[in-house]
Amino acid sequence: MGNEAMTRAAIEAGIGYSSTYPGTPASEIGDTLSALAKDIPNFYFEYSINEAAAIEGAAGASWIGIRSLCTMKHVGLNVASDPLHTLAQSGTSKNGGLVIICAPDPGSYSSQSEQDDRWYAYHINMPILEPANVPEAYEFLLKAFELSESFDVPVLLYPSSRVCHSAGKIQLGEIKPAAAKGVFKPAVSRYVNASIVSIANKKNLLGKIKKLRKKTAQLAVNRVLEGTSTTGVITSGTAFGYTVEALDLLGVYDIPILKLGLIYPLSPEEIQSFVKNHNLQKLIIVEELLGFLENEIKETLYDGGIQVELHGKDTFPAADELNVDIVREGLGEIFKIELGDSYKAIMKKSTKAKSMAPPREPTFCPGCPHRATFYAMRKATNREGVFGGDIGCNTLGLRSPFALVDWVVCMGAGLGVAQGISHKSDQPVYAFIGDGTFFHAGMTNTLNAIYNNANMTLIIMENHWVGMTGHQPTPSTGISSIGDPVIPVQIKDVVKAFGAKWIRTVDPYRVRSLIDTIKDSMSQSGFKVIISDQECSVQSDRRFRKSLREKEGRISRTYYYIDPERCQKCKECLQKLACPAILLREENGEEIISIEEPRCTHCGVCLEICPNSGVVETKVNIHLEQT
Amino acid sequence: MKKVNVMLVGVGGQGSITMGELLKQVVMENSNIVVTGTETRGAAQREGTVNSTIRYAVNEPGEEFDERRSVHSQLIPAGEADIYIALEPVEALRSLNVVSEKTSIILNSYAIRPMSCVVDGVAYPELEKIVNMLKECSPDVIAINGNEMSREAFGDFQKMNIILIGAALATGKLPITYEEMEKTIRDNIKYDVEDNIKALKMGYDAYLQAKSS
Repeated sequence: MGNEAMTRAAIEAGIGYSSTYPGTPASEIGDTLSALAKDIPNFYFEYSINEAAAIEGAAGASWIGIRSLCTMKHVGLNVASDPLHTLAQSGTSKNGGLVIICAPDPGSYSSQSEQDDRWYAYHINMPILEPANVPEAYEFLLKAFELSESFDVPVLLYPSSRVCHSAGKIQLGEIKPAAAKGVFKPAVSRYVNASIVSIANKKNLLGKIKKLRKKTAQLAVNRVLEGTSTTGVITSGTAFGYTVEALDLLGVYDIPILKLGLIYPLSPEEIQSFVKNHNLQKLIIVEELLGFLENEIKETLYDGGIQVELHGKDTFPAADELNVDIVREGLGEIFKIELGDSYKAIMKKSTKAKSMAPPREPTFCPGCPHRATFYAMRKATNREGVFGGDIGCNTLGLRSPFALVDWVVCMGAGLGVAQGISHKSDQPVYAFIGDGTFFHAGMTNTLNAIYNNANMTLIIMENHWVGMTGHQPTPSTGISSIGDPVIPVQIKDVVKAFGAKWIRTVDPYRVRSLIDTIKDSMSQSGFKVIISDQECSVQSDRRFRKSLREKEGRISRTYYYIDPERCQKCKECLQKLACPAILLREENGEEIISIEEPRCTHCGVCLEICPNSGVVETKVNIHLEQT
Repeated sequence: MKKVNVMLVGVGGQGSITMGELLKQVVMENSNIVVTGTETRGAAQREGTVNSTIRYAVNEPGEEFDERRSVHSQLIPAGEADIYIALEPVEALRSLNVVSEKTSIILNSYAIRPMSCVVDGVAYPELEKIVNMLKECSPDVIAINGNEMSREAFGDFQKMNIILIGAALATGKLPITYEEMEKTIRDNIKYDVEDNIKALKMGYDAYLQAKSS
């Protein structure tokens, strides 16, 4: 995987510090470093509380001469951007390169937006390297450290989700061990970014970028695929691959292609000579998302007094992910090549087939405590009120049959927006937040809401893991960033310390008790906190299956099944709880509702909610012995 | 240089990521094959639609590598799939843009009804209609029920993936041998190794049997 290749490169580069906040598509970098942390010499790893904490810590290590890596998803850079704008002015150090991996998500498969982080390059004045595939992701990471150290700037590596989650082959290199410790040497003119120092540092940073523009060739990350045509392409990252394959399918092999690896800053000299040397009459720029390269290249050509017919975002879409077909259609239009009847027939048939398929939206896993919480919310509130949603698995509460998420904005904004509404509306106001998000951005908003006496209920869905991104620990898990046991933070104590007066902790599997608690909160005024506390069922089920597999220990397990004699077919479990482990089938013209045992995680919520005792439980004690 | 493209479609939690990893891992040591591919992760996973792609560019021994004719994109262009493995019937309907007459379609006929059917009452199309639609896109369609085969032989659904990999091998279109896949399973799967080897054979045989009948 691309994420593993970059992790390997970072270890070879001798990183001594790495920090991250998990986020798809970058999560597996941190996870791999967490798993390997104890085996890498002189290495410190942390799952930070958020991206700002992550980048600040990494900069600290960089300043004292330790190579540091900070990883995040694209929207994480928004959180990190506040410190990063100023950290970039202070620079890195001679042996302490600072590399940030920020992974974009074109198509927004797992994000609230597909924002184009490349534009941060203008704000922060930070070089960006964009790999097209796994071998480049590996190679560019090593080069990013050299660049960061030789130009004294943090460097952003920008692998798209397709690169992070793709396979490829790399040639492994030697691992360079990290320095054990560094020493901080005070330098007001470098680190104290106040007033005059800040301006001086900014001028200095602009100078570094200017110098880099002249030396991009030395990095050897840009290259030309030669061709004799007077139409040329400039492209980068995954768009390069789409372009090459689209040209292959169009049967065009003579187009010169300038493939950029360093996408900021560009070398005007390199762009201008690519156009001049190939006598280009037409220049096509193929890039994901907005016209960032197009903007830079147009400026460069204008400065060089070069006139050329230019196509970019006039042909290729600026929203949603590109692919070979979109690029093929665009290039076909420019080259006036018909795509043929078979292409059109394929598109027509596949569109017809798609329209036959009922939609399949993601939903909570079997046994997910969030499902029980949303079920209880629906019962208790009858969907009357305002419901703020947040980032993480609990966003899925927006789906049928719950439909209890009125907005999703960014980490912590469920509560933030809700408290604003609560001051100016008489509607009952609720907000949901997971424990990972609570620690990331929810704590400050909770304190704000308590201090300003917001009249609302906050439901903290504490499942003890960052679920959506692959089960990283949170401060309430009881496991450190590198897997050692630690004392878990009690969220109850945190909100109590903030001044919350009405706090209830309920196990959501005890649905009826949770419904009563929610109703109780509705009769109170002021800021109410309900902690819905139950571990992520994927994690608890994994442990159960592991002990079964390894045949160790003694397990007590309650199994559930639906007794067809007693089931009244009210479909409460099937349609109102909507557990994916509960199935409806027809037998001899009769509907049968049953629990699909291999998918059941034995949470017991179906028994709890069954209005006519159709669900039956059996307690089983399993004594496992190693055989 | 020959491109071989495999598309895997299914529902989050069915194990398509593991399948994709095995199909990529198996050629890692082979210097004549360039491999790429990608899969859906994160929010898109939870019981939702998931896709994985595996793309090989196979160089004949002695043939020179040609960057302009190799695989680059992690996604498969329209009509270019050689094998299309659908782990769930309605999911088979969603990504047929990669299918053309050259594609071998393998359908796992075990249905997982989406919430839109269970909760909102949208009709789940009949299997026969789905198969007919698939046949409109490519005549080469084989349906097997990997879930039931796995449950019957091993008591759970976990080996369905390996059964389907066995079926994919039986198409003869993968640039790998049966033995190479068997070795990859032994080297990479930690649990129930012998059951997985058995599942591979079950899928291989089931495909050939369905093909001949």
